[in-house]
Amino acid sequence: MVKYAYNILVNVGIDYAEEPLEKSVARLSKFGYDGVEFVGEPEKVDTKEIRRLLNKYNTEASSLCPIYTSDRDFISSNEKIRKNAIQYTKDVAKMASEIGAQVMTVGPASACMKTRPEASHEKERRWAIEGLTEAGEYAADLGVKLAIEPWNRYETHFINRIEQALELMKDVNLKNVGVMGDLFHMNIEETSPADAILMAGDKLIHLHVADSNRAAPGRGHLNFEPIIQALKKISYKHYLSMELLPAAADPFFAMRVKKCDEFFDQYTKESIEYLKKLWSG
Amino acid sequence: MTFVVKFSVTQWIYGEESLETTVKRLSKFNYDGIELKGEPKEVNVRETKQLLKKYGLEVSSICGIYTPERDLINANEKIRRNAIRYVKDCIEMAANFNAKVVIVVPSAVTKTRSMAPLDMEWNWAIESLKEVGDYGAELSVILALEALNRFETYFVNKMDQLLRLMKDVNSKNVRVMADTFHMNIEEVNLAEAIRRADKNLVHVHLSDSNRQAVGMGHIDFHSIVNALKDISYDRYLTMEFLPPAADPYIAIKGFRDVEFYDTFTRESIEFTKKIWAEVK
Repeated sequence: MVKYAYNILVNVGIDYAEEPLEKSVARLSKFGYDGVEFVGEPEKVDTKEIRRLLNKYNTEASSLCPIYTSDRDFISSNEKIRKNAIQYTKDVAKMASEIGAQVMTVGPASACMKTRPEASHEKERRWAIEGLTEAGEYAADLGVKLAIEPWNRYETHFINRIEQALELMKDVNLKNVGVMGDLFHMNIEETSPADAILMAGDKLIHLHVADSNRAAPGRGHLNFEPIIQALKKISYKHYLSMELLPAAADPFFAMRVKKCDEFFDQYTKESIEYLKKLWSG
Repeated sequence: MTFVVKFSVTQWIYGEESLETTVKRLSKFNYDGIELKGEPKEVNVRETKQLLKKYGLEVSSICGIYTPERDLINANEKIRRNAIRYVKDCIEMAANFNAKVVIVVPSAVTKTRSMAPLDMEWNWAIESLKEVGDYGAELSVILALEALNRFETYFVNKMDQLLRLMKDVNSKNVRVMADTFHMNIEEVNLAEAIRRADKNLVHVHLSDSNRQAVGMGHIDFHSIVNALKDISYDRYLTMEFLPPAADPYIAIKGFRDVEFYDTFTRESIEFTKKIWAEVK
């Protein structure tokens, strides 16, 4: 059975300061989600409190979404920053194991919105492999999987497509390192999002779901039917995690300028309804 | 077969290559025109005209290049004045080449944060566009407002916003255009957006979902052509394919696969013509 989660990044914000955590968890439970994707900021949140909430609302942690800021970059030319990315990933893996999340996303191994390389592609690849290997081995001991996530060209220059994520995964060569997709990014970068899912096959361990405009599924023009067929064909049994964000280069700046109420009750409710209907149809 | 629409490619995507190389290629693959890079100070009018004549091409349009110094809604009045001056120069350039359209992005490309309250910026946009619109009317050149996706501008991302801006400007020579790459990210329904633009649609940029040649991604071009036929669109379809990079102005300076030049140029027009012929 496929499971449903919602990335509460858009609700609690990158610093867990927007809405109280309990409100986000309660909302997902209310609308029938199986799990919660939490923001990976171990220093800003208490894992005991998360466990208490998961227990109270009878739900689980689907996954963790770390925030790779410019000082947490696996492929920085600055060794300190690379080491910091590795340490941060280990901390998030520890947080994941403490709250029972089996998967953490690691992005494309580059910092968010970094669109220009600081070194040759060969060097960047070597750093990515080294960093993901060290963090991956640490996470393996905790029973946590890392999911390499391609982002669109405006958010990273490094890994834009599933095919590239699979190549990097092969070079890392650890059992607990797989790939994930994000339908918003895939709508921009993949020749065919469904074919990319088929190509990933059983290496696909997580999926971020959004429509073409990053709003709730059903609110853009993405053709979900072939995507769901592809997921069924690869016997996908992991999480479909909604990652919905406002239409801006920097969604968190945008949220501060304009109230984005639809990302709370409205999109939470309609996303799962839309997908469940398609999945059973 | 003959087409009511005409085909061109925008020059700036080929980077630093010589105009003759570009023009020769477009002619070879049966394009009707070229969209010239909007650098009025750099263009050699006489030489360009000679080349166009030699290879049997016309100028479809001028593609304004909106660097940070050419920002029509900048909080700094000097920069706004400079942007207005620049668009006027592009209008003169268009008139010189008998081109009907100048593309206008109402903010700098890759500017993703506002510098002032949005209503203030909106008013600056109206002011700037009215002035260039009047100048366009004098020289019989139409300004085509273009929406870019959220990663290239925060200001106007969708057709509905463009149409609202156009109405507020209220100048006969200020109209709108479509760009399928940006629309794939921002529009709920690409074909419907084209239908809503209707007679106000004066220009179209084509590339696929991944900004490669038409046919190389997953955009449903049949539905787009259907919409264009519904509104009796009879102007230019201009190819604008680009390498996958965040800043398109930097992308064109970098390395490109050799297929970018001939293959993309040829397949874009062949695929689009095929669809145009298929859609009744």
